[in-house]
Amino acid sequence: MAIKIGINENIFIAGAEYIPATDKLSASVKIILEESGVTKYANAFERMNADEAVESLPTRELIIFSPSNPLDKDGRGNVRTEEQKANLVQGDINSTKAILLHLLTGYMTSKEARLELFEGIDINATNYNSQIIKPPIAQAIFKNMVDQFITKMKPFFGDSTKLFRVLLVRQDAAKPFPTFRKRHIDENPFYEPMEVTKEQSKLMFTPYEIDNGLDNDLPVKKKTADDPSKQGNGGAAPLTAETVFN
Amino acid sequence: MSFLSFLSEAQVEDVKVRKGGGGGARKPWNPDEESLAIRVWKDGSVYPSKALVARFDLEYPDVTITKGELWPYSEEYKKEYEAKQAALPEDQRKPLADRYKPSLYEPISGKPGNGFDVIDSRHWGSYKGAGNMLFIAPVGKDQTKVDLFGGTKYTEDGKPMSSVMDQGSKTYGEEMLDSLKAVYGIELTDEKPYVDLLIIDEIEDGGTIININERFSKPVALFPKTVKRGKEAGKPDTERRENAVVYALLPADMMQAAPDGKEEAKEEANATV
Repeated sequence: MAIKIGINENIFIAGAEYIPATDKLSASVKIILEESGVTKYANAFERMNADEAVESLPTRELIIFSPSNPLDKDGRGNVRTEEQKANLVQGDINSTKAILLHLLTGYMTSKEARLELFEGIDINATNYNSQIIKPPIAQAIFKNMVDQFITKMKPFFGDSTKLFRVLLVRQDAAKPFPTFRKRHIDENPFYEPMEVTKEQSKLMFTPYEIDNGLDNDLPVKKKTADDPSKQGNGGAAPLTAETVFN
Repeated sequence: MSFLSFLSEAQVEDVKVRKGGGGGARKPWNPDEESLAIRVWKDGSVYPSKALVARFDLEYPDVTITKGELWPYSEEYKKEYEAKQAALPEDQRKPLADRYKPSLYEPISGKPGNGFDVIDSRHWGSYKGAGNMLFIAPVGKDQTKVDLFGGTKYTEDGKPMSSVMDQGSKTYGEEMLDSLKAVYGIELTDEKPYVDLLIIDEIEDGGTIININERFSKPVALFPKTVKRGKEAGKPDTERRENAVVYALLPADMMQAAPDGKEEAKEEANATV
């Protein structure tokens, strides 16, 4: 069974990696989930040479990007204040922090899982808003979080004795690929040990996710040729996690 | 020495009915004051012993109460509410009631004290053992979903309206009675209206000391719970606890009847989480 949108069982974290920014993509963290008990082939050659046709991999790489730089104007054309920009960056950082902490606390106490976001960075309560909106600062905070996450998780990478049930949601309406839930994780966890019985499980799609189609991997509807507003205007295909990383 | 014969030595015979304070018969709500025990009554009420209250800091503290402020609704919510009301027949419409932020209860001493989580191994996913038993773990009263002695009502000046000794917590009563019957075969009746359960940290089995705290406590535990309110009331659930110390919760009567339970006791003693 491939790891997919919905509830996946007997999953462990196989690894994680910080991926530095490139010309086209901002920095990110790749988290590799693996399903226990599924034959893993060393390479594509071995997989293709197996006795049966193996269509899906037992692993799934999930990418979380570093905060994006907030635009100077909002969707209505209003100029954003420094505080509004700071709130946007902070929202992105918080979202990543919540995911990483949620994963860590599957293995350790909240105290042990604590991430020191600002370690070694010139940011404090006084200069917070002006600093956090600077891309190098936001990137450094992101890298801090990811580095600490990887260090704390390292002893557990590949530990298939501690298995989890994991709920993955669809990235968005246009991208039918699984990802971690990003908001309200405290009330709506996406991850729990397998020792929690199905009846006790807290994993479920939220009404928001269901209403917005984030609970399925139905294909994106094709654009209709006779609707000019839906026609593309040429150029490269949009970047998605799937096209970039798979 | 067998597991249960050890238990019979572990002060089982010391669980006595508390003496009345004169002026006529007084119902012995609590177990013997020196035992580390709780007394469960047939109506599901639970009373601790005096020693247990002291050992685990179970008493309700005096608090400072900060009343919740008025919490205005957003204009958007008000409009939505009014639109929904307008769609109803006139006699069913209700004005939007004021809402307040929850009041804050802060212990004057800074310490909230503890209550207990009761853990029925039948529903505890981490528990691996051939037999079932009940466990108990002290957890801060400031935690959510505390099974026993988690909260009480307060007077306006921040004094608890009852002592934990007199409260007769019933919040976990029904589940406790169910667990007692299923796990220990104890059914409370008019003839046997209560049972004393001892809180035990070590058990001796055939000369081997089994440290319950060490064997069953983990840095992160997911204790079984049942949803109490709302649409999902009655649904099995779990609650995460960190660094909770787990004790065995064993009936005093059962411990006295040790010799017949030798084999089962060994299986339980070999259990782990």
